[in-house]
Amino acid sequence: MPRHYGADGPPGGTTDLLGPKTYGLPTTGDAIGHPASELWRRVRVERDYSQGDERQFVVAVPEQLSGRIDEQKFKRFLRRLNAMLAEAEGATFRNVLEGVLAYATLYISTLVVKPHFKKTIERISSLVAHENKTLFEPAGFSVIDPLQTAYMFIEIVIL
Amino acid sequence: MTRATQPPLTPPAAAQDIYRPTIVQLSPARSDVPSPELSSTEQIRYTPRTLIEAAKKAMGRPHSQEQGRDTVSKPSTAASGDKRPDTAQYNEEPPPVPHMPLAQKLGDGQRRYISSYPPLNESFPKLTLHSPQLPPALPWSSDQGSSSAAPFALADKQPAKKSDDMKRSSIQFLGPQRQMLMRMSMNEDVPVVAVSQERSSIGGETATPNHPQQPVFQAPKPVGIYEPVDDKTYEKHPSRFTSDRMRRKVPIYKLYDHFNWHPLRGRLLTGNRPLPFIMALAMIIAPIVVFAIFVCPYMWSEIHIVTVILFIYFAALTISSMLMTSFSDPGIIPRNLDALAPPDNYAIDVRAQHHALGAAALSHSDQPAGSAQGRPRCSSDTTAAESDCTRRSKDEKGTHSSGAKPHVFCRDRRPPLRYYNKLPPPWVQFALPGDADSPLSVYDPPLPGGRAPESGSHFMYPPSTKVVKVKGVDVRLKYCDTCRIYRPPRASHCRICDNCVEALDHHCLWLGNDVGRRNYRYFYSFLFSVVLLALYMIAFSLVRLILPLHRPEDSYDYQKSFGTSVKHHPVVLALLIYVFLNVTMVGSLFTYHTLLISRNMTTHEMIGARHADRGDTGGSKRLRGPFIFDMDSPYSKGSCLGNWATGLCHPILPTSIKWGTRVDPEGIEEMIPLAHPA
Repeated sequence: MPRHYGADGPPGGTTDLLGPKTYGLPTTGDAIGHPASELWRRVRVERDYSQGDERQFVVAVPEQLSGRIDEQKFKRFLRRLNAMLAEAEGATFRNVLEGVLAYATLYISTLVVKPHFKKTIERISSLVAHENKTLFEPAGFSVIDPLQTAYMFIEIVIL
Repeated sequence: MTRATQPPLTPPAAAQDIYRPTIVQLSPARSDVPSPELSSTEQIRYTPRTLIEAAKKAMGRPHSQEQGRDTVSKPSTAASGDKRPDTAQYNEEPPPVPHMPLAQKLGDGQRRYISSYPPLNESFPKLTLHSPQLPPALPWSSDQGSSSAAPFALADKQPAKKSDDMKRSSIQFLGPQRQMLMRMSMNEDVPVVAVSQERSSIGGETATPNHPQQPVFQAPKPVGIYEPVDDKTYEKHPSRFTSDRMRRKVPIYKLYDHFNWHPLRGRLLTGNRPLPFIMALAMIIAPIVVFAIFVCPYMWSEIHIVTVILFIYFAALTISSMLMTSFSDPGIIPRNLDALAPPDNYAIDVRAQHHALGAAALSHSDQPAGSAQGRPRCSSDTTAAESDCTRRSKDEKGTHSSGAKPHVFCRDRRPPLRYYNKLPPPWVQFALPGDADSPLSVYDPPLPGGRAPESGSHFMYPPSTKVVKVKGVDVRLKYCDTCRIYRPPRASHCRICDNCVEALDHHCLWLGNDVGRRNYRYFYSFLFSVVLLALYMIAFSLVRLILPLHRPEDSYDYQKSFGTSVKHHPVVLALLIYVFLNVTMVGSLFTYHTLLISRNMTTHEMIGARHADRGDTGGSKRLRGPFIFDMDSPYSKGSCLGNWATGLCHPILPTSIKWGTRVDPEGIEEMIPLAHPA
């Protein structure tokens, strides 16, 4: 009795053209019975919706990274990211003024006045790049800039 | 360096296998991964639509655009070793692939601004298609005699003489294999299994004798990527190549597969229904113009010039807000964020899979798999799936050789596609193996006719919902099949624009665009401006009608009745009535949105909450106020002012998708055959 149904391949044989017999390469079919994390070389830090709709990320270390990276530094990175995002998104007095000014000037002021959040977004990108160089890449990971994923999650690639 | 041709694959000739994968080669393998040996089959990259066109052309059944139907080559009667008369036709010419529309038909005839990037080549160079390896154990052909699984034998009897339409409509009630056979008999398109294979043996297994030399997919070579293109192609399509004769990259907005229109070279974004927008614009500009012609001169001369300036300002506010709403990105979420990474080379066509699975199911003497789930999607309860699988394995008969065929071709080393939106349509699934720890659920694709599939097909597909906690409240995130993402809590998929939009309020038909997170502030400003302008116009129209009655300077109307005044200025009255009617409607919408903002809700949430609330009461009428005051949203900040600040004054982040980014169209799995036929 196979350890897991399908662990030895499909019962009755396979016509898998990419099977290991054909190429001698491990396929994802080999990992049946093994944790999926061995296949998935991408790890995600998901969004934290507990405070509402704002963009925040869950400050926790994914299990694939747990042994391989300094957890405190990772959490600190996430907290800084969250703080910057909150700053970029906050409905501060300045943003209110900017909005009213834009409306009153028929939105011409948007061409002139540089929005405050853009600077913050650039800071976030540079933070991610910096942490990549110093913290993640030495440990064998690479963090993809959450700007590319519309801040829906942080994707970490296992290199 | 051109893409090297590679020797073909050989399927292990497990001729007993009924289950056949439909392997659609999507893209060339990575260079660091040894690719499958493909004979004279160039590395292909295509979408199912191009596949279908190619298949049709290859088999001499030209696409509907081409001239007429070529004669279908007659099947050879004396195929070696083929005792099945009805499958003889597969030896020469496999049945063509059915036409699968690329876009979902939305009933009301969506217009689409399809990317202005049509294939350069009208005709594919030499594309041919492998026919499926039909299992020898087909019920009507095997020597095992007439099992009860041979309900339909083409050779024996003809289908009842029905009209084609009736046949077509009644086909859906047949089992999957019978459907396929009926379609064959009606000369209709039957899904083909496209497999690149070769006749050589692997592991000592001999090739099946049922399949003589079969043609092979030869992709048109996409050029201009690694080397400059030749003169002929360059001259034919000068805009597609740079002066260096290399392929020009294309901005994303030209390739994105949605229904929006991007005017001004991708700088603006709007929906695809211009007529309601033009009507709305006309309905706003007309009264403004009429007012300017008939009332403003009086205001300028008799009252004060400031009133006219104020009018012009309010009109400008209205129109600017309207244009900002209509032409800005509402907050479209990029696609494929939660898509399964497609395999390096292969995907699986679920439609043909259905037929293959149906064949397997039918060869079990027509018993629907009793232990299979009725619904196509399992929850992510993998233990249930596992037990199902083990149960099924026990149910299998010894002679039956198909069983579950998890054809898994995924090499999860490619990045998930983010802005690359030309993933094939949902009937092409990417399969990943299942295991207890997999975050995915087992998805057994349903067979046509609603039958449950045979033992675990091991298709993995993201579970349809995911639960997150928003401020202590459990919220279900749904998986959007079109966009292949889990929608964030307030997002919604707009069917008119075919996007998932963050915090979608609604799709405003009159403005021709969604109203979402990035747009809402302009929308509300527009409503506010319209109400303000309308009130202003009503006021001054009344002034125009009434004030002359009381001013001795206006000898024409002085001390006449209101009716006379109206008779003298009918246009002003018409304007008054028109504006009054409009402001009633817009004003109610304005009030509604004011309330929504106070609670920080979107229209969807309001409507959903109202339905939920009514469900709770069970129809009993309780003495309570209007629903709008009773509902609360988990996104509200608690205070009215806080909600206003958040709803209207949050900073508008840049668009999630950089529409102007130039990407290599080749990188988004779109087959653009640029090679000029030699």
